[in-house]
Amino acid sequence: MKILDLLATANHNLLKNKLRTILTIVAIFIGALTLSLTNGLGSGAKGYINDQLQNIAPEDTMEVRRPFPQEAFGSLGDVSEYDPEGTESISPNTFFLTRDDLIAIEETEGVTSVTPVYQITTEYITRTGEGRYSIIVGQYIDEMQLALAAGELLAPQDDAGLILPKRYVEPLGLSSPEEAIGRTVTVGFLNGNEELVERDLSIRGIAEESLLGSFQAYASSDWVAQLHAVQTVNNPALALTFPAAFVRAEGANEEELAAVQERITAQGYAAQTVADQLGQVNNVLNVIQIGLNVFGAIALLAATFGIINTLLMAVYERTREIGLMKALGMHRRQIFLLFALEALSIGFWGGALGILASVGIGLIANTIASNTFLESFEGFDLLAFPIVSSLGILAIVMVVSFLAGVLPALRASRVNPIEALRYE
Amino acid sequence: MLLEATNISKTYGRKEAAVRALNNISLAIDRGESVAIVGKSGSGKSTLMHILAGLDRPSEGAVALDGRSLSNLPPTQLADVRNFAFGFVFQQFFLNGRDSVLENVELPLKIRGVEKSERTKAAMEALKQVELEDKADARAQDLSGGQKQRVAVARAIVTNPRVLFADEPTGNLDSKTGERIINLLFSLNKEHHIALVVVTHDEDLAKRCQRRLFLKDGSIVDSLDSL
Repeated sequence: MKILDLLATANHNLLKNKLRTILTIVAIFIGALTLSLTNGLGSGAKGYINDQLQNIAPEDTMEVRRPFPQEAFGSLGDVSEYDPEGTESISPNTFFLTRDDLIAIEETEGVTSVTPVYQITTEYITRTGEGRYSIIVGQYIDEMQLALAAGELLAPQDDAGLILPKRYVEPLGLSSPEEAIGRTVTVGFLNGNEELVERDLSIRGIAEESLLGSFQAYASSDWVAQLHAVQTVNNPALALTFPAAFVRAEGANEEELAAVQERITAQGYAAQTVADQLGQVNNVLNVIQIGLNVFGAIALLAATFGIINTLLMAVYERTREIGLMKALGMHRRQIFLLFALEALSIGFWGGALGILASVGIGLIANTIASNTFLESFEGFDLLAFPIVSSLGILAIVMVVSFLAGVLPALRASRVNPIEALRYE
Repeated sequence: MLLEATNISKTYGRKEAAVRALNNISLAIDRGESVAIVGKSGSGKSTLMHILAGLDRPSEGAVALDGRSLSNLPPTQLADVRNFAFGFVFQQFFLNGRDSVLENVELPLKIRGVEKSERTKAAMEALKQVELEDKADARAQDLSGGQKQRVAVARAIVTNPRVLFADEPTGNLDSKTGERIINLLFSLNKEHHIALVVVTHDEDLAKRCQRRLFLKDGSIVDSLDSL
């Protein structure tokens, strides 16, 4: 029998017992729907967080730190005894990067720029005639991609600009993000002598609400460096140490970036690229997603027993027909294939409809969520259905359905035509 | 010789519990010949037909088609022999009731892998021979018993078989419709030189065959040639 004829016959046979077929498809439908929804939930969270993390820095950037001094503390859980002759004393320099470190890193082959991370503290933000509000000002790294509601990102060397989170617009007496652009705000902070000092900044952009950027304003590295200098004026040790540095290898591709990373690591530093950081977050999210998917898989597993049951009944009912087909010259393998195709068809329809339904549910749920409890998370889809994972789920459902069809199909292929065609 | 059985025996079960269904049977069927296998129930006539038709294998002895032994053929090739060389008509018709008459007749060609247009043409041709072309689109289960058996005959001849095996073809029909089926089978036998092997306990049907083989307890006890 030709494969298309087999496929047509398989579907024809399924239609002969519509109710039973539909009920079996419904079981698979529910399994596929659950799996697609749990997976969609994971993909949604992953997609959002990846998106957010990509905002933090350009891809050719890595964060370089001093490695954790393991030998100073011994292994986890241990406390080392103090040895005046032995290990170095633990100072900020043990953890922090110094000027020398920055120079060494900058001289590493492939590195185009090194921007130290300055630790600053700010007290408040205000505008003439408005109240004071607590704020954290972060350091803007060139080419950092923040989602903006209005305005522009900071241009290089712009040391008077500020990107303000959307939530500060209204408290500062501004009617809309668009209206805020170009306005002057005042940031208050304590200098090295614990005296309150104010600096003016001009609003260049308004950042969308997001997981990582909803509370923090951004000012240029230069501005943050100046503020850092003011704050550490009485503490030269702190002034010249940095918790980390952003190192760029501009224009480097993945391979070149890895090579630069290796060269930096070889000098005794710990370097993490954006991809590394994404990888770590993704690992956690993957574990959560797999955990969720187990529920979907259980639903699917239960449904496969429906397929086994349905097809075993069909084999029993159609024993005579199978015997006739064998008598008329049908090969065992084709009989097997016929029933396997019936299982695959059930899997295909259940799986495809389940996935489509989950996408529909996802659209509705995303709309509801973004208008209610996820309102402050702009761009967060509660459920996401990347085409690859949807096709993957369909493939899994079909493979599982095929496996469920193996036992009935083997039974069918082993029908003895003489027995089947014997009359009572 | 078209179909030849040499010293075939069939034993079911093992050792003490063994039942000998066929005992050292030899027979030869020529092209276009008609042979009746006559015997009571349990005489082994169905077993003999199954072995001749390649549905079963003998415990001893061999069956040959056109001088080629069927004994050593793997199952798939034996299935192909059944599809290409043999046609089957059963007492209980064995049509797929929910399928159309045309689909039922097409089935052996579909199994063979013939294109749709070609097998429809052949099936309509076969239906014309059994005078049921106007029922092609009817559901098989809606036909009368005689019509069903004619559809079964059409299904058996759609592949242009060399041998047509009929197992009690009139057993489920009244004598009038049975007569019609018998006439149909013998006209096909004469016109198309399809060898006819009929298993029956119906003496009237058996008498119309050129040769009658009488089976008792798995052995041929008598063989009569009609005039």
